[in-house]
Formats: sequence, structure tokens, C-alpha cells
Amino acid sequence: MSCRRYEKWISDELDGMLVEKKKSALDRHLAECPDCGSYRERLARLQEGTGRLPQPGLTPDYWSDFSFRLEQKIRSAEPRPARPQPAFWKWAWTAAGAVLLFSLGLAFWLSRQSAAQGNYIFCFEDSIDNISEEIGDDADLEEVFNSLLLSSIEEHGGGPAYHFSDDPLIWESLSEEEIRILETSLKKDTKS
Amino acid sequence: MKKQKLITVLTGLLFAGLLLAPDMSAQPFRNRQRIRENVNTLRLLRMTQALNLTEEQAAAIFPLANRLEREKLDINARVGQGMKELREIDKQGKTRDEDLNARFLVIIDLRMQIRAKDDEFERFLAAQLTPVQKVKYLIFTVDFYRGVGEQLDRARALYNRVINKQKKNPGSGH
Amino acid sequence: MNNLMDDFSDDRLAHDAKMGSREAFSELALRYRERIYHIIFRFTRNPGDADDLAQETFMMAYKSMKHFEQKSSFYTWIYRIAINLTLNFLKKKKKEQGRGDYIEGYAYTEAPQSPLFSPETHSERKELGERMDEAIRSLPAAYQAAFVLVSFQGMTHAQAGRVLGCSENTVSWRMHKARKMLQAKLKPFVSEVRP
Repeated sequence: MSCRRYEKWISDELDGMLVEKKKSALDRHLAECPDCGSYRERLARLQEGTGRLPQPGLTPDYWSDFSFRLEQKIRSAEPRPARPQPAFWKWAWTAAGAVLLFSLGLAFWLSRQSAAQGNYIFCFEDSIDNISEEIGDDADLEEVFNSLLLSSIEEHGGGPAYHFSDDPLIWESLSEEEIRILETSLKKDTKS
Repeated sequence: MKKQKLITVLTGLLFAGLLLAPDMSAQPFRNRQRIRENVNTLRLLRMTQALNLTEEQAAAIFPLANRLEREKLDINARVGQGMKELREIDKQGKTRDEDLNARFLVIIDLRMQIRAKDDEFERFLAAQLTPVQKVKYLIFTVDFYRGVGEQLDRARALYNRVINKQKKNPGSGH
Repeated sequence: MNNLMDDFSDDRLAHDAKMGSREAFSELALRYRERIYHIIFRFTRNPGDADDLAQETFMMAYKSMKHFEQKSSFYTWIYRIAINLTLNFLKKKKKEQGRGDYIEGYAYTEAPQSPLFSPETHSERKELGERMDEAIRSLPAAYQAAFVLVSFQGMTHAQAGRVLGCSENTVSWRMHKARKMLQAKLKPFVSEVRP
């Protein structure tokens, strides 16, 4: 058998595709044929080299953004052709819509009760809904509440943008690493 | 102090980013948006400290929070527009059921999109945080929102004191 | 978000997606987005192109869900879409730009350093990486596709055959031809690679 046939077997062996009988025959040939031995070594090094090729380093934020963009595209894709709905299904959907509306109203009412009883809020939007509900149309109360929020923010070291931009020394006092982190944040922000 | 400085600067970025949000022309709407932004900022600041976030974690989380809040503002604007149209329709009472159903579903879908942003944020956090931080996050979340409610109560008490003072002394300035 | 769908099989999700469930499709996209991106990146070696093509792959899959007959797995089907789109893209790009531009502007991330790291071996590895990239991309499309699926994605010849729409034996021959061509192009470098 010519070496050309063995070369194919060497390739199959590297992929784990060579049957046992052929593997034994190949091993016997490699023991006798230095050219095929060298060829096998080169292919093995090539295989090893593919394992060390640079990989793109992608962050979880990239993947979140990837899924978000895909979701946006899917939402704005052409609507899938609707299957014709018998009258029964039209009434069923209308009834489902009414049930959904009732459930949402009930859930909203219950969440208000839960908040009053001091149950747990985990969701930002629920909290904002409660605040909006309590403040209602009272612009003065809104203003007072906002002032308290701002003073809490300042206590924790954050400040409104106008204070921040008035202080050029902030930039001068940043370290290289801090500037690098800010640059990365700005780039991501600008890109999004 | 290094961390404090970084938090200050990142908060500035958060504010600057939110300033780029769509311009809401109606004043009352803009005030309510300010409250949203400030609650969100306070939440992130307190969360950074409560969870003892590293600089790298903060640098990853703040921009995402910024982006999601901008997107929510955008969706909220559409909800506001949709609700305005619904109120008009409700007044006039002339629209077909199919149109009403469609508008109803649009608003519900937009509301779900807003909730989905919170879910996205939490999923992102889950990928960033250590197990200990995750536990702290849950505890922090409950305490924070309770704290916000208490702050609103304080605002109401303060406001009522001011109003009562003005009633007693109608001629006095602020 | 789709916690309920975490336990659903791909077949169940594909079926639901065929029936119009966007959530089911989104869950499938979530499961395969990284693999699809990486397989495309292996061909393009450009993150921007890989991102665009990965998005296009999922969009094409979404729009064609109703035509997916579920004779193969969703995994095989979407890989096929990704490979076809990528190879078409590369053919077009080859005509428009010439091969030299492919790796322009791409920044490599550093591979983890071995205990034997030294500046000399590091730069040799970097050069080998660049040469190997170029050599793989110079392969005829059919050989390149087989090589990438088997060597980088770890597929068996049978799996790669299902993705590429050819027999296991054909993939086996393409791998053999691809390796022959690669080791000939990279002979000086392959001989110098340190373990």
C-alpha cells in the first residue's frame, strides 16, 4: 500500500475516526516509514497549533447586547402569516384579553395592598409605580421627595452632573487605571 | 478614597448619559423622570457599597444600567403616548373593538418590555456577582425599596409641616 | 427571562418556534449564540463581521422557522445557515477586497501564557497564529468549512457532514486534503513549534 493511503489514515486517526484494525496497520507502517512518521508529527503539531489560535474575548455585556439587538430585529421583522382563525378562536382570544385585563387590575390592586402590609418589593418598576401612585399630581411633594433623593445621593459621594463638570481637578487626580476604566465605560456607552 | 472617587466619576457619567435621554417636553413628565433617574442613581450608589463591588464590576454594571434606563425612558415615552391616545379614545367612545384590543395589547407589550429590562439587568448582575454578593444583593434590594418608601413618608411629613406652618403664618416667605 | 424554558429540549423549542413562539426562538438563540459566533469568527477572523453574520444567521433562521422540517437537529440546521452565509460573505469579500484585508484591524487577544513563556516563544506563537489563520483562510471553501467544523468545533466527520450536507466520507477526504495543503504551507513553522 502506498504512503498516500496511509496519509489519509493519519488524518482520520487525528480526528479519532480510524477503526482499530486500520490503526494497528498504520502503527506498523509508521514504525518502518520515517517519511510518514515525519508527516504525522507535522499534522500533530498543526492540530496542536489550532488549539492555541487567539480567541475573541467577549464579555457578558457583549452577549447581553447581542441578544438585545437580535430581539429588537425579531420584533420588527415582518409578522409571520397568521393562520386563519375559526370564529371560536376569535372569541377565545377576546375572552383571554378580558381575563388578562382583569388579572392585571387584580394584581395591581393586590400589589398596593402588599405594599401597605410591608411585603417585599424586588422590582425597580414596582417601586417607581408605588412612588408615582403615592405622589399622584402633587408637584410640591414630588419636589420635596426629589430633594431628599439628591441629598442622599450627595451623601454617598455621587453628585449632579453640573457639580462634576465644574471640578477639573477630578480628572487630574485620576490614576491611569481609573482613566482606562472610564474610557472603556464611555466607549461602551457611546456605542450603545 | 480611590473607590469613592471612581464612584463619583461613574455617577457623573450616569448623569451625563441620562442627559442624553430623549427630551421629554412635558414638565410634569420630566419631573417624574427625574425621580426615576435619582432613585436609580441612589440604588446603584448604595448597591456599590452594600455589595462591596470592585472597580471592574462597577465599571461593567454602571454603563449597562445607564443604557437600560435610557431604553426604559424611551419605552415609557411610548407608553405615555399610547395612554394619552387611549384617554382620547375613551372620551370619544367611537373606536372599533379590534382597534381597542390592538392598542391594549401594545401598551401591555410595552409594559412587559420595561419589565424585561429589569430582568436583563438582574441576569447581567447574576453573571457578574459572587455568590456572597448575590445574597447581599437580595437583602439590599428589599431594604433599599423599603427605604425609598420611608423617604417618601419623610418627604410627606416635611411637606405637611411646611404647609401647616404657612397656614399658621400666611404672610411668611419660604 | 425564559426560566420556564430552561428545561425544554431543543426539539420542543424548535417545534414551538415553528408554531410562532418568539420566546421559544429567543431561548434557542440564547443557547447557540456563542457557538454560532465562534464558528463564524473562525472563518472571518473579524469580530465586526462575525457579529453581523451571527445576527443575520439568527434572523434568517427566525424567518425560515416554518420551513424547518426537524429532520435534523436545530443545532445542525442553524450551523448550516451560518456556514452558508459566511462562505457566501467571504466569496463576495474576496472578490471585492482581496484576501490581504481580512485580518486588517483585528486585535488578537493573548492566549494564556505557558510556564515556558518567553518573549521569543510568544512572538513565534503569534506569528504562527497569524500564518495559520492566513493558511486556513486560503483553503478552498469546502475544505475550509470541513476543517473549521472538525478541528475547531470538535465535530465528528458525520456531524460535520450533516451540517455541510455531504457524506461522512466526503468530510474525511476534505480533512485529509485540507491538512495536506496546510502542512505544506506551514512546513517551516510547524517544524519549529515547541510543545
